Amino acid sequence: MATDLTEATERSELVAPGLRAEFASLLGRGGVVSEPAQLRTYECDGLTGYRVTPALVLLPETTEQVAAVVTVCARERLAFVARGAGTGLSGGALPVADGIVIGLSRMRTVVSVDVPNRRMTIQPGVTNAQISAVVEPDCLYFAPDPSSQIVCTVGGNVAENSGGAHCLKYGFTSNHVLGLTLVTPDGSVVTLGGDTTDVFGPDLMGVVVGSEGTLGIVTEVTVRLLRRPQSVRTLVADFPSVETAGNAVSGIVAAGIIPAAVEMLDHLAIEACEKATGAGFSLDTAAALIVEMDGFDTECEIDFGEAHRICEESGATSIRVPETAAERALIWKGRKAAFAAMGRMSPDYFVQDGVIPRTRLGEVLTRVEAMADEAGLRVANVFHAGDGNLHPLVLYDADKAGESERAEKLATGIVELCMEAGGSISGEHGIGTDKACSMMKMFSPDDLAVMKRVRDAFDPDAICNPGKIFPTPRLCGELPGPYRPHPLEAAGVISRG
Amino acid sequence: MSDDRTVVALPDDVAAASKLLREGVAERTTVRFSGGGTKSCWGGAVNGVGLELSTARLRQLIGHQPGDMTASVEAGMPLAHLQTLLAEAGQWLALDPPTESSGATVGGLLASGDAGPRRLRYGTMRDLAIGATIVLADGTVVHSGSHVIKNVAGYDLTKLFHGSLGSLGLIAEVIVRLHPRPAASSTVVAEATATEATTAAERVVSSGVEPTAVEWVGPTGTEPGTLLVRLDGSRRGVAAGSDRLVNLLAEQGLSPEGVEADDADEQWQRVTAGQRAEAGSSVLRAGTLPTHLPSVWESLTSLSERHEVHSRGMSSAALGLHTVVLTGPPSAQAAVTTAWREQVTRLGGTVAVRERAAAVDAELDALGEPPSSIGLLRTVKSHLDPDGRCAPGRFRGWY
Repeated sequence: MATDLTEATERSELVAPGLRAEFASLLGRGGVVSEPAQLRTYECDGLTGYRVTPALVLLPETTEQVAAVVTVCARERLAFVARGAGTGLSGGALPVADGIVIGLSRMRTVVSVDVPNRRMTIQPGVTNAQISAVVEPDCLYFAPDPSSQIVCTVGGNVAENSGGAHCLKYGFTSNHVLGLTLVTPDGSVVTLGGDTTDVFGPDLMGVVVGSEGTLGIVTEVTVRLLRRPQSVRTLVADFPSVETAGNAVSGIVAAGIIPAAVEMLDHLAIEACEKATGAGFSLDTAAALIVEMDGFDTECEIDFGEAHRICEESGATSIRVPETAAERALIWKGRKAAFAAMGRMSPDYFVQDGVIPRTRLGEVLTRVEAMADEAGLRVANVFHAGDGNLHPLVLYDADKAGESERAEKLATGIVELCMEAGGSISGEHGIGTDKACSMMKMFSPDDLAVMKRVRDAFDPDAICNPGKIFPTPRLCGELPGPYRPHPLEAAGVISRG
Repeated sequence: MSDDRTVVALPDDVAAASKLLREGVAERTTVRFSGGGTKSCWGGAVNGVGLELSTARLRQLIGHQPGDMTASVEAGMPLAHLQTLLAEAGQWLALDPPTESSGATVGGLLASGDAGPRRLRYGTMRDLAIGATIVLADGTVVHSGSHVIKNVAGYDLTKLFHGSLGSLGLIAEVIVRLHPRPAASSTVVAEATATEATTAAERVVSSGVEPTAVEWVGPTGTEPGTLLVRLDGSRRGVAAGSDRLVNLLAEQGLSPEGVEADDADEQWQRVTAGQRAEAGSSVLRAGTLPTHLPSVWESLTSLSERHEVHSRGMSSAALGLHTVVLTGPPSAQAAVTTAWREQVTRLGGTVAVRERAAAVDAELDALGEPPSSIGLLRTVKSHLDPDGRCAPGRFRGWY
């Protein structure tokens, strides 16, 4: 629900004027946003169904400024939420009412570029695509490539452990971060990782990446850069069914090939992408695969030839091989526009983000179709087929009575189905606000209690992006408590083994 | 050593391990976790604990899903045995640590972060473990991650345990992602000085030929330094890549040659063997930016000469990781280590001491100065193991 302006104004006024003056003295006037209409700009991220207007927005430019304002928040026990470009799809940057949003959009400096050691240090507001643009002349790039890469920031990539189409071969943000500067929730500044890849001790950096802004604010990121692949070959293959396309994917993997990317689109998704971008997808096919190989030219050619043959043998009705880099770029533009393009197909839609073991693809998609029929709704499927990361788009019309509730229920049902198939409730969009309640389906109370212990170690006062990831009674109803051994169990009299 | 009173327990499932740990809560029994024992000397010594919990009976392959390229194993599964099982499906866990042949286990590899030359392409268990079952000191059984490669649900506790050396709890089961076994591999070898090797590594990595390993073995006595570059892939691919590499290194003024598979295996085994300590010697491990390789070796050589210590070793040249073996009087080994650590630290790197004699150990810290995140490390430790029962002394000087 959107907050009305009067309410927002009142909230903003709740932050004592003295405190506002203190923030202004730390950041300058331009660094403090308190005008209600402006605050509304920050009320949601890419998950627009949830909206909360923050009391204040702060726009620091340096690590020291972030540390200074976090220190004030810690002293006052004021909740704060870090925000990058606001493209997140799970409500991870949803503000806290009466709390502060620390916007990192002004922290856009490239701190250092080290070509011989293939690394770059940047502030969190630098966009994902800009990292690669900076080192393009050196034939280097940053591998994670979320669809929002033109606008999403590296700080957000770190928070969400972003993936993208090419993570089957190259891994996720976590595999490409070498060092972080972190402002902890008490305002201290620490560095994690660094020049050496052999870090001793528990891997704190590994747990901070993907923690959705709940363990501190990252103010500098050192990323690993890869040499651009010498060769890139792409094909688009049409299939008579999603199952046959799925078989082709299994065949490619069974042949010992790790493609750079394998994306699948079903008929509805193809129609939407094609209408939006004219990328040349066939409108009369049930499913299409985009298969991309890259790497050392000889290996790439061999694998590409093999993948081409496997697609044919699996029943592809047509295979198109783009001849120029521009043609290939258009195919990817088409694919990456899938979510936005859905607006042409339906007034409203939910984007889901479940993961299944790849071998369960056919079975799960059939079940999704049945669930959609039962709910009387359409579901378009776009997914990273190589790693089993599904993005079903549940289409609905909010103006039709009861439809949004049915759609939400279907979306949740789909993701829980993924979990039951041995997968995960999120492959790359994160838990945020959206899926906090589903965490109880994937993790036991003990699992969650231990994650909470880690959170408490970083943020004992729970002021750093509270309300995200962990299910709360307010959101999810009564929660089972953490496991506590029965006294007889502790004494070894009984056992649950 | 005051280990006489240590009770050794070998649980055969997670529940039994959990029960053992829970039983020690009231008495605050201290505990050390052990696997293949190949890296028990890493970090500070853990002596005089009440309980040693061994994973020797936790060695089952729980499941292997070839189509999904994942497997779940009990932590005590020796890597070498796992590789044999996976090879039937043409797959492997893409790790080649020097400790594989001496019994390194999957759980120990996650706890230590140990990896071999092909880390350049595949990373360490940090990159390959996608889930784990962990048992905390109070007996709580925790599941992290899942059976799918792509998963961002919840905190990545599997990574938190990477490098923890048993100080946070027991790693009982691990889920790993697998890779197809390469059909062929080839190795190109060339004599090279430290400076030549550094330049060569940089060129090889930027050439577009995608090597799986680039190692430099430092000079010893009259033997010059040697650069080894490995390619894995299809037969035709590695042959073409190998030709390309030979040309590239020759352009740099080196005299490279492609080595046949059998000879290459021998060369790689020598790289592995060269990292093992003889009785009384110390093994040091340094990490720096790759371009610091020549300075790191220059300072080591001059310190070794000054203190009359014999040093040999090797570097993962494209990664900036250096493994060094020192032989000589303990006090001289300690003096070289302390001075070298100071110089490497000044370059932004780190030095850990792995194997070392007791007399060397008495003179230095295994891990060096704690990092700036030490406060966080301490609170994480106290939240997961509030009574400090797990591996006391392992991170001596840190927590």
